[in-house]
Amino acid sequence: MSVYDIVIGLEVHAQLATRTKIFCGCRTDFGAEPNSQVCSVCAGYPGVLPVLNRRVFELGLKAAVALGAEPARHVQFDRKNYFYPDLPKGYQISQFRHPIGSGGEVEIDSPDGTRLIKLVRLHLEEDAGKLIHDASGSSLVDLNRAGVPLAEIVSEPVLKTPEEAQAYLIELRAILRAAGVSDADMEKGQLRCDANISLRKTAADPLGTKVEIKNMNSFRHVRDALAFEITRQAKVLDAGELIVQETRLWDPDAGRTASMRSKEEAHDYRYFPEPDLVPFEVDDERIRRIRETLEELPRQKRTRFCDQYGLNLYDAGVLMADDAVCRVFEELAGKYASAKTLANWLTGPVTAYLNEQGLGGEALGAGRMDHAGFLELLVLVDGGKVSLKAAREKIFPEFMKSGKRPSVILEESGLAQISDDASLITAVDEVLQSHPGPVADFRAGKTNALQFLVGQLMKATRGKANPARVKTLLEERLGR
Amino acid sequence: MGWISDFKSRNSDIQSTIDTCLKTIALKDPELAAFVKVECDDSGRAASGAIASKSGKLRGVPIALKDNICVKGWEITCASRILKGYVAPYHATVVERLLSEGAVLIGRTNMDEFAFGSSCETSAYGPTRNPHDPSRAPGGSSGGSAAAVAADMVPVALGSDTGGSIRQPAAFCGVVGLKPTYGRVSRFGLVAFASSLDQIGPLTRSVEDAALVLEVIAGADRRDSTSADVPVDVYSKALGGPVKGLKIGIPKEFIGRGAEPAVEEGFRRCVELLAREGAEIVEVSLPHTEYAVSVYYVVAPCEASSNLARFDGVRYGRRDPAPRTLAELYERSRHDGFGTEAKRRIILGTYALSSGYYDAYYLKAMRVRRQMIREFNEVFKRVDLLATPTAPTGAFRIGEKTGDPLQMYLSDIFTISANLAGIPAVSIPSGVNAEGLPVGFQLMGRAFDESTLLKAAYAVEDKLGAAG
Amino acid sequence: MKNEEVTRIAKLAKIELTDEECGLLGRQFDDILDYIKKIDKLDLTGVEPACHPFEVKNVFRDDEPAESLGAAALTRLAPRHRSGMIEVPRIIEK
Repeated sequence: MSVYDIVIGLEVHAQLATRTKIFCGCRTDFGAEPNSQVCSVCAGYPGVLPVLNRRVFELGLKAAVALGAEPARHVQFDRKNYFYPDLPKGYQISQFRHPIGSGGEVEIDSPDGTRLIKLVRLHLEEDAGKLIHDASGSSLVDLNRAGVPLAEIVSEPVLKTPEEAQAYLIELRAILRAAGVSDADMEKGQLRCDANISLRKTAADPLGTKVEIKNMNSFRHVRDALAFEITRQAKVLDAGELIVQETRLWDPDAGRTASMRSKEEAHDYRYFPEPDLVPFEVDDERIRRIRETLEELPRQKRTRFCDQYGLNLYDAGVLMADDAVCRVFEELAGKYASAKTLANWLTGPVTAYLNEQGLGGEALGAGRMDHAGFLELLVLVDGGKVSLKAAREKIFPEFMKSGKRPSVILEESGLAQISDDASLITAVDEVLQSHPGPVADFRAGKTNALQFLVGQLMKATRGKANPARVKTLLEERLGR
Repeated sequence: MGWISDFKSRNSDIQSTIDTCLKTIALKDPELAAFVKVECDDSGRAASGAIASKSGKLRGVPIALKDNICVKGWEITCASRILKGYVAPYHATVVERLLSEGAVLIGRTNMDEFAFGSSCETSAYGPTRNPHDPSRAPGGSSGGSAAAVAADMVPVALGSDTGGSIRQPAAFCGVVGLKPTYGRVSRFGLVAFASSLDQIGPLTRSVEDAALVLEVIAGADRRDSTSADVPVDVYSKALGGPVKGLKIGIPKEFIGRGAEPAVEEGFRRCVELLAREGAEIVEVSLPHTEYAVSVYYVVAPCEASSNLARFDGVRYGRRDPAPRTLAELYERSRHDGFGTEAKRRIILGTYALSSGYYDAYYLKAMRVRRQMIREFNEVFKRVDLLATPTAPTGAFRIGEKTGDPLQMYLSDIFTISANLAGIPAVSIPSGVNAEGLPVGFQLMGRAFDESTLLKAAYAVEDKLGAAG
Repeated sequence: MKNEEVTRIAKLAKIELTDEECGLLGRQFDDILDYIKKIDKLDLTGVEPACHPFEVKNVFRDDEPAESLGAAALTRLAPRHRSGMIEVPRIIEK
């Protein structure tokens, strides 16, 4: 299979984080009974009119600013006319000529460093309803989603691999969440992605025929679908055939894309300005206020974590994967000496515990978890009072369940690690006496005999000895 | 004194007033067909709400509504087959306001299908007839409302005006018809024809009645983004005020356009009356008037073609009984459901918006509209009102103009400009032509200055009445 | 206007037309479009299009929930419905 230059562009629809729809007061809750969140306006009954949700407008501007796009000073809505049963009015109120944001960029990591993925634009629009195709030969329309507010974000066709596409989506999602613009939960349909992909011999050649891919319901689907498409298109081109310009649906079970069989003519959307809405003007003052109140964005935060706390990129990244864990880290980092240790604890045993217990990040909040107690545990480990293993596996879970102080739990459990030399030396001497063979081996140069002796000491002390200290003492005793 | 003031001052019995209306309707409507449906059959029940309420500016006043204004629980069809069976699930804002002031809603009046027309002949129910001569059209599209008022069936009816659909039928039927400033009255609940042109307004027997109804229905509405956040005057208080000193402009492009002699005479008579009362008559020019009909017949069908896309047989109204595919569902439902004029306008509008034509038609028309608006703004720096005839002729015979749509469109020449510029306009009867049909006199005013407009109209009406 | 053109537009507007209707509309459109083309004579350079007669801007509603119609009301109005949803002939997508 020949190598081709790959050209990928992504179109993402993000549901804006509002309580109600874009043009009416219906709720936008996920999973509601069919047609229970519908009114005359979003059902497109005769005589109704749209009124713009203020919060949608604000979040749209915020999204533009967060994505480094130029927010529009003059905002207008247009009608996109086409017929489909999930489109009640026979047109979608969208933006064509005056989108809420132009340009913008998303920075991603790539094997050669970082890449700045440029955006074309972002605009506001209403979502359509949902169609369910059932076995009986008809389709059913649920209008709950009709009118849900969306931001459509279009990237330039500059992504080069399925992995880049996935990285772009992850970063885009993180930005939208950090800015409070969208919860972007793909499982709740709050983030949807369509892709356009084409191949050409080299980057110097004109763009190839592009194929649109839909029905990718997770970031992994996007990566896999694009990977499949690349292979499929390469095979077609290698055979000297032409790529058909079409829309293909990703089939996750079969692991392939398939052509949509509908005889769709090319749409003529007949865009014209929405006469039921007035234009919107944005002044500099409003933009300035948005920039000021914008929360720290993911990559800024990651850089800051590395600089401020001395974490490496990977650790910072892992820590930032969960908002609640990240928040607790920042709260406690000032009260404890080693950011790295704290980070390891939070992303390791603490997260594992939460997952096991089916708890969410709220369980780490100041009201639910005793922060001072948690830090006490870390200090106990630092001082050798308890082994890391015992702390993780026994003390910490008990601490979370009972709320008792770790020092108390330690005493009660008898898990206290023996770290003081006085107690240890006795044990050390005993072990050395009872194992002359290994002692001789060690003196003869077999270094792994030391490990054996450490093991014996741990057994003798029922795991309570501080292994590091034991090793040191043994070495001293053995004359090293 | 207008009907409403008279009714209230005599403390008339609400119940018997309604009975009288219903009797008149029963007597005359079989021939005139002004009503699509009388909803107020049990007059007792319908009026009880009004009687129970102690106050209300329109307490007990019987009002008919054009069949494109939504009343919760009424079948609303816009005189189209495609909306058969559609029962409105909500009240239009104007309906809520009327009801809160104690009005009694009598029923739905006939109209051109979806308000496309100037004669009430495109209705799926058949034409309404002019009370002055049943072989003639009442005008349109609010023909049913105009005829109902002219025939004394109801004292007040609401209509809608997109290119003259209140004023022209008012002129043809010899009643008062008012189109308020765009945005003065909420459009929420008015089935949209052309969103940037439509307004709801009253048809009445006197200017005072129109003023009183406007006071009730006007005002900003949170449900209509295009409704104006401008305070509502007490329009009735302006009536009877002096006309002296008002500058009335006669746009020369509206004169000598082949209007019927009686129309020109009536016009001149009204202008002279105003002059005699001390108004200053000024000749003005609105050069872009030449293009008004062209602009209108791009903008209106374009917006209409999109507004009517929702009538697809899917969620309400009439659906083709046995479509094999989705495409058939749409195409058959809409073919059978829409009349010829509706199809014509939808396809014309679709064409003008389609790829490759947007710039040539819709965009260009919007630019000409901008020029027209500027022109009116300039003129209103020099004058307070503009005076013109309402329509070039009196009512034509039913069937006379249906063969040539373009001729029908051209008869809107005097009324269209006010919709494009968004300014308020009123038509009052100015006389009668050789065939005995009424003709109308039109005044147009500054945006949101219905007070001045109605004051002048009242003065003309008063003096005309005095003249006998 | 040729019949094919009228048919193409009618398809966009999702209206089926008989041949007769097509022919009639085509002839009438020619007259109407000729008349409309009067506006081509005007010099409109630098003139901004007017979507509305007045310059109203920035009308919003608050992000506050309001009552919904309810599935029963919605389905009551629908020509065909099943399981609380509106029913249409099968749409083939795959």
